[in-house]
Amino acid sequence: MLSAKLHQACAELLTRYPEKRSALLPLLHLVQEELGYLTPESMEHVARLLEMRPTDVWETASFYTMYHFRPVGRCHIEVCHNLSCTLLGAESLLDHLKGRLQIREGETTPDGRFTLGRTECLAACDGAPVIQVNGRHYGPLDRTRLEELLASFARGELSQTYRYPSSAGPASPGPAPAGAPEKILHRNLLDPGYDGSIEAYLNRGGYRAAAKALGDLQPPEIIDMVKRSGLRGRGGAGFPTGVKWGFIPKDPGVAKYLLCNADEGEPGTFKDRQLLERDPHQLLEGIIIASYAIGAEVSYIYLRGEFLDGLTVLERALAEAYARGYLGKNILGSRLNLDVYVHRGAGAYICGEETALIESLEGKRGEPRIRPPFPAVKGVYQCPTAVNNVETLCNIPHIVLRGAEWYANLGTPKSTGTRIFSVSGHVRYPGNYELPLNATLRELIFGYAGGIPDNRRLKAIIPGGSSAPALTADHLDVGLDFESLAAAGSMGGSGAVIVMDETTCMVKVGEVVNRFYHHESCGQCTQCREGTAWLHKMLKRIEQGGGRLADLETLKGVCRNMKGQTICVLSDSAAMPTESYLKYFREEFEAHIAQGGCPFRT
Amino acid sequence: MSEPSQKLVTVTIDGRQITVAPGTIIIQAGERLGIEIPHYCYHPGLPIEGVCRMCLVEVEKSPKLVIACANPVTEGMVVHTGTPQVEEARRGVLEFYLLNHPLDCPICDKGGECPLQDYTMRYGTGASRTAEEKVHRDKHRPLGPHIIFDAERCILCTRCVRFCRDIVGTGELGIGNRGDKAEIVLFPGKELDNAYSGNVIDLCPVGALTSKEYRFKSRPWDLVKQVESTCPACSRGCSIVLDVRHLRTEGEEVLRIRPRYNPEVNGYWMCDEGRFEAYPRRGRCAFEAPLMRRGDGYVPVTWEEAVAALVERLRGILDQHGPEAIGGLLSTWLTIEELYAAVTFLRHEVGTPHLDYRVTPVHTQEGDEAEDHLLRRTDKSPNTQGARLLGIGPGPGGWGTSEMLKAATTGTLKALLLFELDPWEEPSLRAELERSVDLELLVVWAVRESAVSRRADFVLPALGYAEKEGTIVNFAGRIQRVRKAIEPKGKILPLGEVLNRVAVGLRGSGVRWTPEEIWRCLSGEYPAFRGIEYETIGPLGLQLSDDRRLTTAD
Repeated sequence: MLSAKLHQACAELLTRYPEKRSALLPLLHLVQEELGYLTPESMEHVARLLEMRPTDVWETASFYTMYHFRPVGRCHIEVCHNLSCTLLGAESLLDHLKGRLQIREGETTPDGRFTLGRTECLAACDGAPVIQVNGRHYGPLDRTRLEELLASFARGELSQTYRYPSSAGPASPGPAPAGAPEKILHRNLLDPGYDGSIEAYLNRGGYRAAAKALGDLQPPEIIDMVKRSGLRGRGGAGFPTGVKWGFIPKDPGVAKYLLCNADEGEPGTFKDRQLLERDPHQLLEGIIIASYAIGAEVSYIYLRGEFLDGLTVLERALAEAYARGYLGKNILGSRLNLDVYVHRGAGAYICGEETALIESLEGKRGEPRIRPPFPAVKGVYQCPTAVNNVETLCNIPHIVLRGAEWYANLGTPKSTGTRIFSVSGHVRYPGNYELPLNATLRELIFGYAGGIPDNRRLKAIIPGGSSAPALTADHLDVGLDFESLAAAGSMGGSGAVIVMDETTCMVKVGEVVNRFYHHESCGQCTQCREGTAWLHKMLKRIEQGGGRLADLETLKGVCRNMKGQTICVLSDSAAMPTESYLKYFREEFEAHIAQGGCPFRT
Repeated sequence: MSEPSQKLVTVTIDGRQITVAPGTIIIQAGERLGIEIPHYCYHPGLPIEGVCRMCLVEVEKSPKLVIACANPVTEGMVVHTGTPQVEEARRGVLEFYLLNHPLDCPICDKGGECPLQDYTMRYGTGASRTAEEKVHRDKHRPLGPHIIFDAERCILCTRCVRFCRDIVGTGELGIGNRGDKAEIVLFPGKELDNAYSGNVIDLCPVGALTSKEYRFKSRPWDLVKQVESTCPACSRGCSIVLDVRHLRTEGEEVLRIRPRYNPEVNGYWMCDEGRFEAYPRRGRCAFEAPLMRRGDGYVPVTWEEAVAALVERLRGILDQHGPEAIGGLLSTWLTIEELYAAVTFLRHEVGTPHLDYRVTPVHTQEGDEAEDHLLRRTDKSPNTQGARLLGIGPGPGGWGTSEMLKAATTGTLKALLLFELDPWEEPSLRAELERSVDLELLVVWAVRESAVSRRADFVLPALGYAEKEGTIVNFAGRIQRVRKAIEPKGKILPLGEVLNRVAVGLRGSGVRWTPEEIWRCLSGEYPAFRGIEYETIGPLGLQLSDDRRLTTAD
């Protein structure tokens, strides 16, 4: 019942993985493209093709939000309601759409043209508020722009106006201050004509690091070099990259894998997306060197399911790299054989957690694994595996080319190099800014991102993605390095800086942040499954005026019970910021309770 | 990454030391010391999942609490299970579980034997802090022929999922959706209908998976007896517990059958046939008194009347045609003791060489084979090995089953005694019998009506397997006890007692077959049973050694 074309595509997919089941997510995407949604019959068919039990297909498919199990409208509009978009008017867009389409959330218009829904952070926060339409992103929007888009959708067109991201332009918006430090990862993007093609990359000296690594360096030398550079993972945990690679067993008889974590989903973060969409070969070069260093002959780029543009870019870049001999057999005349595949996720924040990512790559629910064993020992397919973030890998060619010492001299002694900060929320120039790690929040927010519009006062800063505890205007001189932010009671996290001005309701912020973790908890561990839901419900109730003073103690107690007790840190990621909101903005909570409503609503 | 070492490790839990094998998890080491570490998702028969987070304990030098189910003890490890931090974590987990739990304990089958209740009493807070409305989910949804699912009660421990996936291998159940929308699911349109589905009822630590058969029939505290017995549904002989309730009107009744852990036989599990079907079929005797044919029908009689009439008929045949006109067929549903009594009666009191046993019901395939990778055997009777070990078969010049039945159609055999078997229900034998059976006397011991009980001259009630004491030998040569759980409804005499009375009637003397008496004889006469005493066969049975089995192979 599935088309011959699909069977052919399935056969091709199966060549990419040592285990058939790994083809599940990509195959379900193809089935959904063909049928519009996943029927039980189609899932049984997929189960037969991949030699799985139907239940295993069903439980995996139902884990991911991008799969539909009933028809959706020809134009599927999803409004991002995460923090940056909410700060900039997402609810108003949603109300407008409900009025115009005359449907509620989750419904489809009777003519089958429109389905309306919400979505979590699309990693497009500098375009907030953003909507996703049939997998394409539009922003920043207001009601007027939305009207224009609706008119084009109604004509059956997927408008190119207001598309996010715009494929050209500088890496960072706004005027750079005088004496701005050198950009490393954004270096190529300084060239206004840079299009990310392999020619453009080679013209700017691309793949020289790979040639040097493969030609002049032994794998242990590269690992040592990365260790000495002090490079720390840019995904969130900040673990030293070279040390991580050093854990991979050297046994040449064992297959090893390099997984590139391109599942960028921490609310407020949109840097990896830009790196892979605008300069994909920088990433591929990092992957080649990293694979060589750890002895991997296969690498998967686990790409966030929502990054359709990135998928196109990466597929093209891979084809270019194969054609020029940077991938495949005996790369650059060396003994290195390397195949790189893009593996598309399907809508689950938790798959950015490295063991959940591995499970997902294996065609399973994205449920984090108990450690030990760590991925370096038993990762994907039970083989030694390194999982590295996009930005982390993009640093590698530069370290190889310019040396560990050069890199280690940037930033602070313990947080070396530069980092790309995604700034969004109430700033004049939301965008990505690459700065050495010895810069401060003040420099980033006021020096680069233009400060707060209309001279409103700063209220709160989330410095490392929504999992990071909030800081206040008192913390503006805190450094952006991992240590300084930790000392200030927060964390560097994913490098996403969300800025909130004095008009922001911090109870609403709590509700929005916890709505996200509630939505994204995989549900394995009791504390996280129940706790994220409970926090969200309590905060929503307080925000709407139904709070009691006792709720504040309960909130704190629940947060305490959610921390440090679960398989992964998603539970902590909800509890820690919530505690910070209560700590710094308790009077706002009390005001909601005393007034029986939100004092910020007009 | 270190090589598994065979060196024992010593761990201290709550100040007490124990030395255990490497790889032993903290929960198990605690159990050995009698220290309870509460848990939900952990089950010794299932792969570790580590998701309920109830078994968090403090391990010195570990920055966070660790789960006692997924962490093996290491040399010198010091564990604390009762620190304030551990207690707070447990209170937290229980509070989280109860947030959306319906608290319908008064009408829940699990109430009274529910770890969620028990741990809440022992470790919970006692007060609820939630002001949110409970999440409502599917209730009483049938998952398959035996199982009802209540999603509101479920705590997502995934024991049922792991059982179907990793133990049975059928994998019908999964977790659908995620976060607090996660739920136990079947594939759309499919059922939980594997041969072992009932085990998920026992595995479920709450009342989310309940038994269609047992549902609302009893509270656990009304189950006045838990009788440790052996399942008769196939030659595996799984260790089981019969839960008995005393009902006001019907008297004692077995309301529930559960597997009992026996590492040598069935591990933690049993099949659905044993759990749900064996008892209704053969658990108790459907007859309340002996029946004698009168004209076209039957009349109930007392045992005295039945025995007297039977003696009369047997004596007539013996006098007129001699013992060789009488044959006996024994089923493999009889216990060792019953087989022994029947064989002794036929050989010595009647004096006939025509006796045989028959596996009842006949195998689906030749021989007794594993029906799947888990427990079930193709021999759907409990004691074929017992019959083999007793060497039951025709004596010198005697007939086996088919010859006896042939003789019954030609008039050569005058009387046939059937012990819990019915040749008319066996397709291979029926054809022969359908032609014409020309018997003067047909006697059958039976637990329920069947084709033969509508032809026999005497229908003598036999004790159901829940009504009798005795032993059976499983396919692997393990002798196990069948225990009496309930009183029969009517007055039903054990087979040995009936045969004794008939023998007394025939010969003026008989043997009063107590188990002890039978075992004295058995261990003397049969090498297989040498040295075994009835009382030493414990709840897990006793393995007869291989050489014993070989000496009596048929």
